[in-house]
Amino acid sequence: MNIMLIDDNKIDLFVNQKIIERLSTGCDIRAFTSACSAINFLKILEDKGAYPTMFVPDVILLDINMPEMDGFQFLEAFDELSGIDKKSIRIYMLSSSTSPQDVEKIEESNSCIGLIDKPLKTYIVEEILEEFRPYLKQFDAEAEDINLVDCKQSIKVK
Amino acid sequence: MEAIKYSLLSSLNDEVLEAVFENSIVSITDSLGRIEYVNSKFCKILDCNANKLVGETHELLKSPLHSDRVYKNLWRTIKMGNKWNGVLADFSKTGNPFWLDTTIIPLINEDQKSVKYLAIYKDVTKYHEKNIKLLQDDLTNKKFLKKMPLNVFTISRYGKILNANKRFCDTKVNDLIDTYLYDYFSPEIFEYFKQNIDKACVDKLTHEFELYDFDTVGEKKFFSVVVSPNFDEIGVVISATIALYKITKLKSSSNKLIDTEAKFRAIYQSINVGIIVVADDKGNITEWNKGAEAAFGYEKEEIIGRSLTVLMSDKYRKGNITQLKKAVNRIKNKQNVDVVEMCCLSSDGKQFPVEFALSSGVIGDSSFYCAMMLDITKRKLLENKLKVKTKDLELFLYRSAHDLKAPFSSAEGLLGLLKEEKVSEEKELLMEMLDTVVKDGKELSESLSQASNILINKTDIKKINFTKAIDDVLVLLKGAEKFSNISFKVNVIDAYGFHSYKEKIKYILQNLIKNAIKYSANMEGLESSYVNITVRTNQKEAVIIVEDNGVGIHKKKLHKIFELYYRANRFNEPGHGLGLYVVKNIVNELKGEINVESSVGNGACFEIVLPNSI
Repeated sequence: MNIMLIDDNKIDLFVNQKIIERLSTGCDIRAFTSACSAINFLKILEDKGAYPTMFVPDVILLDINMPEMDGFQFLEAFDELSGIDKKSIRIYMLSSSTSPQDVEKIEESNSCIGLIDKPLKTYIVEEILEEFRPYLKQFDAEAEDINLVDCKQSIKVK
Repeated sequence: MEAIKYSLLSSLNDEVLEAVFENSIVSITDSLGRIEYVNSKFCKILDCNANKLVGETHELLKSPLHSDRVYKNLWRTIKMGNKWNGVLADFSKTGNPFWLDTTIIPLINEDQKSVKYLAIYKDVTKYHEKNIKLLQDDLTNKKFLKKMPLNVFTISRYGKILNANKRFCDTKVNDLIDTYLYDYFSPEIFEYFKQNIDKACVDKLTHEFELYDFDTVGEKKFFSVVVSPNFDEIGVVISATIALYKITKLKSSSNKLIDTEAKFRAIYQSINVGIIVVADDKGNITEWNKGAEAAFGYEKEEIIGRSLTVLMSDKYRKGNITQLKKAVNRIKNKQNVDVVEMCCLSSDGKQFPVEFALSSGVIGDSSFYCAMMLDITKRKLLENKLKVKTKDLELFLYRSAHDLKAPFSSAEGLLGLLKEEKVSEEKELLMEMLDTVVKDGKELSESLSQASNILINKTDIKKINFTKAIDDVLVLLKGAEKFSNISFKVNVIDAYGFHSYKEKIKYILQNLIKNAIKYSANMEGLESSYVNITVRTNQKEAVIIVEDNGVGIHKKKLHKIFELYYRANRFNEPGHGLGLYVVKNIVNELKGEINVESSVGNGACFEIVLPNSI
């Protein structure tokens, strides 16, 4: 599972990274200190379908208050991207701000699916991972089915 | 004329002479004025015999020394040998006055070098008496005109005074002539006055009307006016006779009333508050006082009779008029009108904000509107400044409170990580304390930013979905301590639909529920902690009740809980005394009511009643 972290505050980035790493070892985490560089990164992906092996985020945790380009501006820029499978990217806003205006904006937004209160808490990360599980290839239903078949077979064997 | 020669007389026929002498009044006097001959007719007028007259001085002609100018003139004329003609008067012997049209002809006898005067008279007593009577009549008429209480003028169609019977407004008759009658009245009544005079001139009929005006002292004067048109030969109105009769005394029954009115009038005229009276039908200005003059720069004479829209700037005219119409309609429906704020235009083209307090009244059949205005330029400026300042401050508070939260969050995150590390027990205790401090700081900045957010973000009135709002709040508070120990019962009956400010309602709910959670008691046994949230709405209002069975509030402290920075709890719960303070403020702002019932150990029940802003 690939997670992209965007936050201008390096300490928050570090904390978030740590928390996620602790919970799930299978996660590939990329941290960006500005929304601009993150969007540029995504643009490269857009240009080249040719990098199949490159890091494509499954989840983006996005800070709201950032200089130069804030979270909402990032969302706008993200909406304009083409050539990447945007639907498979789940974006959460991550902020200490719980102002009603921000909440409303997030509710109206298409690409962002939720607001997470800072600091990131373990139980929330667990929820995110849980929610995402069905989308992951390693938890593919078919694969599980195969496993189930295996299990049954093994039972029979017993 | 040349003197007639004596010889000519003798050459005339005696009969002719006799006939002339019989039928006219004749006397002959010598050069010194003694009568030499009188005929019978002359005697008859004087009521005496010819014998008595002959030889006597002619009373009629008197002596040349007579001081009267008439006699001097007479004697000069005849002594020079010229004929004199004039009217002479005297009394008969019996005392009757008479007037004689007299012609005196000097007769010069060249032989004797003597002069005789032939006087021929015509009795004009009758005419004279008539004339005198006429003159006397005229005099009495004139006196009467002056004495009578009417002011009579002859005016042209346009009000120019052609003649007047006496002084008016301390102006002499001569000075009155050629001025305009309207100038002697205040401009307010000009239209009315003119209309009535025009009416008489157009209808060609005498027209009566009443008029009132205020003199320089401000006293009200009533006039009864009669106008009758004067025609020329072909029936065209060339002038009008107008009689003004002061009926103030008849009109105002008591002096006290006049005084009071004069007082009010003086106040009205001099007061700094502009007062404009507008007639109903066309919106024309009918009254205008000093205050209005100072504010708008128009003088009374200029503005009266013009439309109220003259005072409005083009840009705002439409808005102003609709606003005025609304206000007028409200007045008509006998509703109270708040002040109307408008942007007005002064005579020199400056725009300035004005506040109008409108009122209306009815005189006779016509209603009028009165606008009292206040120039609020300065106030507006200050108001705007204050608004900007307040906004700045609110924004500053919001930004600082909000930005403070970020470092606390970071610290909280770091602490979280630190807790996972293996550390000594001593350090763990310190970390625990640090955690409390950080959480406290975070909560403070959180409640500050929430409170300030309510202040700066003025949203529109919307329909409130209470069920959703309460759900949102509960989701938000999920992370709170003790949350999981509490059973929440939500009961919303919202059949009518309630409209208000969404954010504010949410803030109220959030704070009340948060407090209920925070101060829930640690229950033992079968009873469990609960928080009941009940909402009932109707057309008029919404009642929100948040009830808990927590630790409760001491009765003595109950009245203080809404004060800023006041904290009632004894349990060392983190808090900053902000939440309920802001809740109370919001409730006040929404013109609602908040009540609380509680005692120690019995939980608390908050009841809020908010009006429906549908």
